[in-house]
Amino acid sequence: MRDKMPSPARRAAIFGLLGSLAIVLSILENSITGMLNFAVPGLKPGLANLAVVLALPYLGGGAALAVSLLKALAVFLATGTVTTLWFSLAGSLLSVAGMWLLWRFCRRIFSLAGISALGGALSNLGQVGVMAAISNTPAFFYYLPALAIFGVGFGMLVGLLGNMVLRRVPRERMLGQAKKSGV
Amino acid sequence: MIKKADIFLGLGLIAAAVLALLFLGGGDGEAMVTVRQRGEIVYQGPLAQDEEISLAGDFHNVIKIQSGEVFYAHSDCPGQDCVKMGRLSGPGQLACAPNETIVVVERRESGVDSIAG
Repeated sequence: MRDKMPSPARRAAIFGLLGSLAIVLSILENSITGMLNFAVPGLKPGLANLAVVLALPYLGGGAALAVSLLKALAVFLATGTVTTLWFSLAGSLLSVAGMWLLWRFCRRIFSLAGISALGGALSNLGQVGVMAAISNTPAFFYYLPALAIFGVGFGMLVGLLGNMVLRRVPRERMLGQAKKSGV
Repeated sequence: MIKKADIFLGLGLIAAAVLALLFLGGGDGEAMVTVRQRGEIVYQGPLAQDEEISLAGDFHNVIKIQSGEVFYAHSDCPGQDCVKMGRLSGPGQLACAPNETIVVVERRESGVDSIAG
């Protein structure tokens, strides 16, 4: 039972917060991406997914998708290569779809850690999957274990961070529905 | 803070990926290099055979197969991701997305004839 719906202004402010988080983290992530090339070329730590993952409890699936698209745009603006934009979009869409499903139906079973782990795995899978499909090479299967391990690993870490944030700023408080007056 | 289900999910995903690899990957024959540009095969040959492949497109790539390794020796694309990908001495792939080229190393099932280059 919710006492009141958060105002559109409030939701917009939260979205702005998460959006800028996504952008800043994307830029940060871009600088450290090069280190992972030993395992899988172009593998990303997925740190910016923190913003997407946090959007789920605070603003819902639609906002999570929007933050995800914003993130993809930010990466494109930062790196300037159009071809990688399509790949990362594929990964992002798959990732958000999976995370939203878990959030919508299995929220009680998993914490943000598990949801984010799935998101991370799907994101990497989507990217390389599209790369392989377009270039007609099934050989990307060799990368599946590395993709899964890193995707799940980083996803879990990001999810744990999300859990920590959620614990300190629970949904009610973020949306201004807290019983106590003032923040 | 982390739930048991999270851990199971994570391990499950990794297990699924490893299983997928075992069923779908494989082949223990000779290592073959396939270079494609825009999806079309432009070169195919054994990893053991030294070769230099020059590809023009939106950008210029030079791929070298040397001493059992394949790598992007030179590229004038902006990101240089392909060059940074390093050398392959076994199954895997390298790619230059801006120039739409991809280098794949895979092992054929032993007993299959090699493809004429």
